[in-house]
Amino acid sequence: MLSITDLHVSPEGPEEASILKGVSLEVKRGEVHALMGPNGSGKSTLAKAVAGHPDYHVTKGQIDYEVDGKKVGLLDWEPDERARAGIFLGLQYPVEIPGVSNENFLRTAFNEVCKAQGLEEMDPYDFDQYLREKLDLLEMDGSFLKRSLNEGFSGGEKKKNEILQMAVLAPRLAFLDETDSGLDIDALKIVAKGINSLRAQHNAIVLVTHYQRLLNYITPDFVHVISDGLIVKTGDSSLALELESKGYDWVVRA
Amino acid sequence: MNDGDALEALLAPYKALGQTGPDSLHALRSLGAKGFADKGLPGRKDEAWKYTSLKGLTGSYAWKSEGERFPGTPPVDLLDQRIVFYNGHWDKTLSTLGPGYRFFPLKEERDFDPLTRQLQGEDCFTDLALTYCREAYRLEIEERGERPLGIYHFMDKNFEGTMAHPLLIVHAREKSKAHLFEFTSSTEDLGSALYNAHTLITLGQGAHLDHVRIFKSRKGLMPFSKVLAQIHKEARYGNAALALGGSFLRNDLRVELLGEGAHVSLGGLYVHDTNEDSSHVSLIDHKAPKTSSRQLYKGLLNHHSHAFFQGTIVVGKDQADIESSQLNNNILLSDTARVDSRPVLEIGHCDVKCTHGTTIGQMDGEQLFYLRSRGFDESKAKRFLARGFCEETLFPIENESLHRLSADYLERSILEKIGDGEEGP
Ligand SMILES: Nc1ncnc2c1ncn2[C@@H]1O[C@H](COP(=O)(O)OP(=O)(O)OP(=O)(O)O)[C@@H](O)[C@H]1O
Ligand SMILES: [Mg+2]
Repeated sequence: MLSITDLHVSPEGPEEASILKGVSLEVKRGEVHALMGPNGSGKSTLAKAVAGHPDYHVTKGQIDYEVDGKKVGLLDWEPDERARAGIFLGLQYPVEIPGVSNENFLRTAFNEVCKAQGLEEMDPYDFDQYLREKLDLLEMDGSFLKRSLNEGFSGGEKKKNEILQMAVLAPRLAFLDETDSGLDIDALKIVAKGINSLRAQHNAIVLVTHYQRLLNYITPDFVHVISDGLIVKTGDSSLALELESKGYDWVVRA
Repeated sequence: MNDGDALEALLAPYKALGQTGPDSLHALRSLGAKGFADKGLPGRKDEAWKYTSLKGLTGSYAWKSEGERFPGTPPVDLLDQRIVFYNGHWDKTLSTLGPGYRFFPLKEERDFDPLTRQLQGEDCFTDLALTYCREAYRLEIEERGERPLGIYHFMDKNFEGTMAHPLLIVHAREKSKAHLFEFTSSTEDLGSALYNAHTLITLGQGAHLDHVRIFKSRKGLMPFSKVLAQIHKEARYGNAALALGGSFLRNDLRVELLGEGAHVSLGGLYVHDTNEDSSHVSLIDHKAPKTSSRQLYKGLLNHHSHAFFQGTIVVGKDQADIESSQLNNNILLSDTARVDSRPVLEIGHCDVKCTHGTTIGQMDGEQLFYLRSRGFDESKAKRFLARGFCEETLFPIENESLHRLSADYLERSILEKIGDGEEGP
């Protein structure tokens, strides 16, 4: 469903050095991938490039996405077009937006995606029910809906709120960038439960993480190590365990 | 027309009137005329006026001593309780008031005595209002009410080439509570017209007043709106002024905090598109210890538009335990938009917590991306951010229905002004 080929990405300005230096990655529907690697290696950059962040310029390579049985190149798609086609990015640092209520934001986002996918907008009552279910799934309090989007949320609450959005939007392809960082032990279990419940034959998830912990709950089909803008190793879920005990040195140097 | 000619022209209707007729306000009016002639129109050197363009002020305006009834349908839905001014005069038939309020025109000279004192030392436009002072209106707030009271100022094509100087005195009794929704609008483009409104507010001990002022006028009208407020012990005044359209607005507030525990919150917003301009000038004078004030002025400027903010905080040397904050945040949506912001602090005592700050920037790229990554197209994302940014200026308004009503107007203006993503004019 997603094929990334020889992707080179650099931040604004042509003279800037590349952050990604030729990443290739193939994600099929039904799969869960874990993306690991040292700080600053380019994990978030890869996730943002897939979501279409305007600050990250693809200078070489391509990103192909399969939507409704057709393969399309994503590079000239706007970020909102990608989102409406089912791509979701759970941010490492979710942004606070004062004055925009979480509830209004979720409803609007949901309806935008519905419209784009040829579904009818949900009426407010049904949406409310739908939203309650998702809140229950993540054991979140309804009071979060009334508050401004992420404003004053604790670190962990912000991450949970990202998964709430994912649950509401039911994306085909989700990149979750360090959703587990900042979560306490109980919250981690709840979030993992939430993510697992969204796992399905027709969609795919890429988990960016530093810790084996999350992978205890969500078993990935593949684990990739990215270092200095390149995927340097790919393995199965045992690779994460190995990394946990040995660190990155041995893969990076190899 | 140069300033001298404009000055002459602005006084011409007054001079033509002469000293004839049964009018008890001669003394007051000639005082106004003299003050106006002495001060003259503000020049470029006057910091408080430097960024307010008066070039649309032609000077030659007709002045009508009597009002007419509003012939058309009001351009907005009216609140159940309301006072309506049409072309500067009270329209009695359109106005209705519930219990807890008294409203009446003042005509006798002695009624104006306290007022003349309060109006001394103001700028020339206040003198001009006195020059044409024929009637003034007094609103008494006697109880604690929850339903907002509308105050509407409507102007239409009959206002072309004229000027009006309505004067409203609001007196809130001790411990009373009220919520005012004031709306100033012209329904048609005009060549030129001057609307110079003054509102004098006194809040008695422990009184609470929420006051929204929305300005949404068409081309050619020059509204000046000045609020002079005196806040006594334990009283709270909240004012939110929203400039939502028009080629000109001058919004002046001067608030005096006169007793311990007095508080004022001022919100101000300007949302402008091509060729729109407004000036927002506040002065908060902490004249008693243990008083507090908070100001948040924000602007969203699109295309070729401009705004000016000047906020002055004065704390006398004998006033301890003061808290005062002032913020002015601006978002420029285009390269041709411009804002001038000028904080002025005159602090005479050291036991003062006073903060201030100004920001001028663009819409936040990370916020925009966040919304877009959730499926909001660019213009919808911008509108959401704009609304979130702007709505904060309604913070002084505690009454929920007044808050919601104002937020609706705000949202509609944002829809009009931050249209569908097009960048250039
Ligand atoms: N907008 C930018 N401009 C310049 N450099 C950038 C920009 N964004 C990222 N970088 C740099 O690119 C490199 C990769 O950053 P990225 O955020 O992708 O790392 P990461 O693998 O997600 O790290 P972490 O594990 O710390 O989250 C870093 O060195 C970072 O400083
Ligand atoms: Mg990262």
